[in-house]
Amino acid sequence: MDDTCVAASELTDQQRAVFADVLSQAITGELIGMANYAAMVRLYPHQDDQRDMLLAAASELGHSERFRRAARELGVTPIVNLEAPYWLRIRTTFLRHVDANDPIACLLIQEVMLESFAYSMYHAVADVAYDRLATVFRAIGDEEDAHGDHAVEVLKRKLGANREAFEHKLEQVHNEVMSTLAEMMATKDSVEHCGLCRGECVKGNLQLVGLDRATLRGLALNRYLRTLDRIGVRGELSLSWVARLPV
Amino acid sequence: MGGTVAGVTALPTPIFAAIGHQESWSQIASIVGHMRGPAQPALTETQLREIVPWIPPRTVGRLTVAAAPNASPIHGIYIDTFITPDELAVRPTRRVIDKVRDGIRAAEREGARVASLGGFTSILAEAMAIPCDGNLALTTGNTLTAALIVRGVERAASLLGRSLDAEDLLIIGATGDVGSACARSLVGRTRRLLLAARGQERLEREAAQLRSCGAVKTSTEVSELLRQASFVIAVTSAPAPAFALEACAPDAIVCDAGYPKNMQVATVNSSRRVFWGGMGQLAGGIAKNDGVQYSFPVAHAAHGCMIEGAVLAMTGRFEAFSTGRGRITPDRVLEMWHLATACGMSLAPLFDRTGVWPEELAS
Repeated sequence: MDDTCVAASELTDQQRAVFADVLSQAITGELIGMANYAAMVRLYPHQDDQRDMLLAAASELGHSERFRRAARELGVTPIVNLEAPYWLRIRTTFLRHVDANDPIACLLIQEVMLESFAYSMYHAVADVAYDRLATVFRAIGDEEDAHGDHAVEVLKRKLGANREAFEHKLEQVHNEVMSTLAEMMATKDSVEHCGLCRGECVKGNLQLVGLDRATLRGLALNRYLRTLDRIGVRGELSLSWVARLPV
Repeated sequence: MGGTVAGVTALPTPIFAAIGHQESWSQIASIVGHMRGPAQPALTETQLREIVPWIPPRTVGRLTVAAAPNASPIHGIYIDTFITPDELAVRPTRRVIDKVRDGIRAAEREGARVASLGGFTSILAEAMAIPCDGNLALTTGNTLTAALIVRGVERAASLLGRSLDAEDLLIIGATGDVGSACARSLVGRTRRLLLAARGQERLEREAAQLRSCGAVKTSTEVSELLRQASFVIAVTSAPAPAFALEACAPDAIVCDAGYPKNMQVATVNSSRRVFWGGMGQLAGGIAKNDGVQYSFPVAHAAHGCMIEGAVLAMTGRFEAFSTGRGRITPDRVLEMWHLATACGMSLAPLFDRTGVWPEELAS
């Protein structure tokens, strides 16, 4: 047992349970990401693009494995449930856009929306977790950040070609996906149980490990808006969309 | 002019930007409420406090201004930094400074050539020496604000049949950029100039430069001078109303040019008269696509600091006209006034929170 495990062993059962629920969300989210990238392979005719998608899928699988290992080290068994209501809703929406042969909508969902939440949550957890877990979350957060740059360039070009059409599509996808992601961080849920928390909703217990729902939500939306700014989306438009999200 | 920024098409490139913040949670609620639309319930202040601090500075409105009703308009943007009223009340944090910096970055990203810094953003940008790239000129907008305050004081005196040379005029915030500019422009034109500021040393230094031109009295205690003044210009950077209107002399005329407002106005039936100073009006109109921020009881009105950026853009002077640090001279005030009036700007009819002065309506 190394020093970091000693630090982990100092956690209370309640704190351990919070990290377990956070890891359940992270692992499930990464597996959804893996499945999304894998599904995108058929959207690209060129082998190089197909390979990139498969590599991205493998990377997401690798992230989920590292989170699983972290859970084992913590001594908890995460819940992995790709049918969890919120994630299923997102996955179903994503597949609809795959079926519609729409790689731009898929990139927006995976690389902008899901990544904004993943990046901000991972770094927030890294800031409060014990050493070993912090290292895992921070490293994976940084990797998520790195592969978003290419997507931003692609989306920027798409917006440059036809701003109105791009922003219209983005608004639709935002309404479909961001409303679900925001609800995961909102005070009220439209589903009875998220399907990933072991007991009662983790949102009410986040403060036990130095996190809080409002800050996680704020960080995620800040990241999302900044990414849309980088793409060149009008600030007033993205703000009006975010202003309508569940709180 | 016009054209596109890399990656941005089908939008006219704004030539000027106004960077600012809201002075109250109710103003913020108004913007967010407008953006949420009528179908959604208004957010509570608690909910707003959870959301707004996380919004990155961004364009929230696009506008056009013109020198005359039929003149070609120029395009501008309003960028809100989303610095909250709570953040104004405490010593600036790294986060608040970053918001000003990001507001400037947003103006650069949009391709603006000149940006005015409204309210606290100018104070922070000046104090923290926040840089911008070579294509964007930053102006505090304080020269035009000072010009409009001085014209407002003249107008108020004229409307109420008072003569400035018989008045004791108090400037609260006299060592600030706008306050010192007003003092330099008004010294010798009133019976006495009363100057109030928090820093004794700076106050005396400012007064020493003015005494050769007229009677000047100073104090770091506002209340001591407030009763003696028949005219008051309040232009402090207080984060909330700090002076009671009822503490002024019964016949006092108060120009409140603070942002947020400086004066606590408890009753609408006071014998004192208040107007919001530093407000201009553009003959060619200000057309906005949002209709929420900065609405006034006078059409086409805007804060002088915001108009200064538009004036510089309309006259092709993409320069840091107002750079802060108390360097505004009466000559520069006059120069800016001439530039602005040539662009169709005039002093806005005097108004306060209850509406336009009846004397303005009668005239």
